[in-house]
Amino acid sequence: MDRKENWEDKIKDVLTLECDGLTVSQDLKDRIDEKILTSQEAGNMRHLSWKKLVIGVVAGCLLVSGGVFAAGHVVSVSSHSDWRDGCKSYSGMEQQEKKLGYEVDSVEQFTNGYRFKKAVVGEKEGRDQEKNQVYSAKFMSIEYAREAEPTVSLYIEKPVVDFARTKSAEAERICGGINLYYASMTYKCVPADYELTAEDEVNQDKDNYCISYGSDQVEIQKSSVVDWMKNGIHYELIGFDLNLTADEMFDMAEEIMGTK
Amino acid sequence: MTEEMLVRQMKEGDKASFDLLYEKYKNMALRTAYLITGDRSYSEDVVQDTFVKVYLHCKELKNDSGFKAWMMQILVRTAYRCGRKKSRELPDDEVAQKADTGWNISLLEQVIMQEEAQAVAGAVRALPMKQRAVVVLFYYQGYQINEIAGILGCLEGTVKSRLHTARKQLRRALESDFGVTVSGAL
Repeated sequence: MDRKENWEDKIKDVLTLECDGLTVSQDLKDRIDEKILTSQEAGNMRHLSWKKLVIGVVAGCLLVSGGVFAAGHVVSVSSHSDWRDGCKSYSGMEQQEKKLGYEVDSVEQFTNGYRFKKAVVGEKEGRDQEKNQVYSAKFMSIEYAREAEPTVSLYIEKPVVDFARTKSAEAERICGGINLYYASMTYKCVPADYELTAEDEVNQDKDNYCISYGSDQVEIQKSSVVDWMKNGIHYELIGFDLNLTADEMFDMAEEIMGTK
Repeated sequence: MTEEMLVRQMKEGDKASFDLLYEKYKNMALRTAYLITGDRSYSEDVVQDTFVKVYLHCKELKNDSGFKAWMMQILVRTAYRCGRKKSRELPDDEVAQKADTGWNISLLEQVIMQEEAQAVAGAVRALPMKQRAVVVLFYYQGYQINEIAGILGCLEGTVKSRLHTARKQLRRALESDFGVTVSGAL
């Protein structure tokens, strides 16, 4: 072999050898089809508001993760709700609690000015790789508004599995023997053909930074979440680009718990 | 049915056409992703994400005949994201095993060539990912400079620069490992 003349050919030969015989696994196509289906469903929801999608689905997995997730049984989670079935005054909460099947902690107005705007009960389901329903559960979403500021949502559900905390909290407070956890996450939604900048590449290694593909344009928003578990019910107080500190959100959580 | 027709039908929502395009390109995509990321499991993730994006965004493809280059563009960018997150080192025995196939030569020559192959493979894997992608597209896929520029969404000069730098590093690695004097235009 003439090394002088063939050294560049050797690169091609070696690269070919490196991946020779590699074939995709049998189930890859199923996974692709599943993800396409999930993305299409999510895309439909995103047309309404991708923030709501994050609140309804992603936020539920942001701080805690169920045993079925850890065991790898659930490969997709979807949720749906229709605000036409909800209520727009606090007096309608009793009816919503009946739909949910249990009573929840909530307030009509916070001392910082956020007021009840609407509430709805929805359903969430998890499916395994064979698309079988592994679980389904009801949840309640309550929205609070303060003038022209971003809304705050209270997301309530009874976990159907044992939950284990997978993300470390940025701040904690103990209230009446119950731990409250605060965390934030920056979401950068970008078009499919978006090329990452050097800053993106640094950021996406951070635990609290997420780049999501599929939006029409680049949009950056920061979520803030306080969550806690009380009487077997999981509460998440969450919002995007809020003018609220962690302490102010803890205060709101305490008001919901009725201890402030 | 031509690839252009399949692409057109996929853009109209025909899932079966997408399935055929997947069958045609799945292994090529996997191998390219593997060479860029250096990891088998990551490369499957890259292929998965690539084909999901292909299906969901196929209507954004303006030139139906440019499907492969468009798909490669998505694949390389997806590979950048996945591959950057992990170490690209392959166990030596895996490299040796791969280098041991398809060479009908004497044992001594085989040992020498295995070592050289390991050196070349190691040198390619040691390249920064953007240079490695250019090397993979140029040497493995056989794309021209202008085609690579289209796939990577950069200027031809950038591709030439990355390729030039990569060649220098590969040559340096080969020369230092084996005392090989390589020649040719850089």
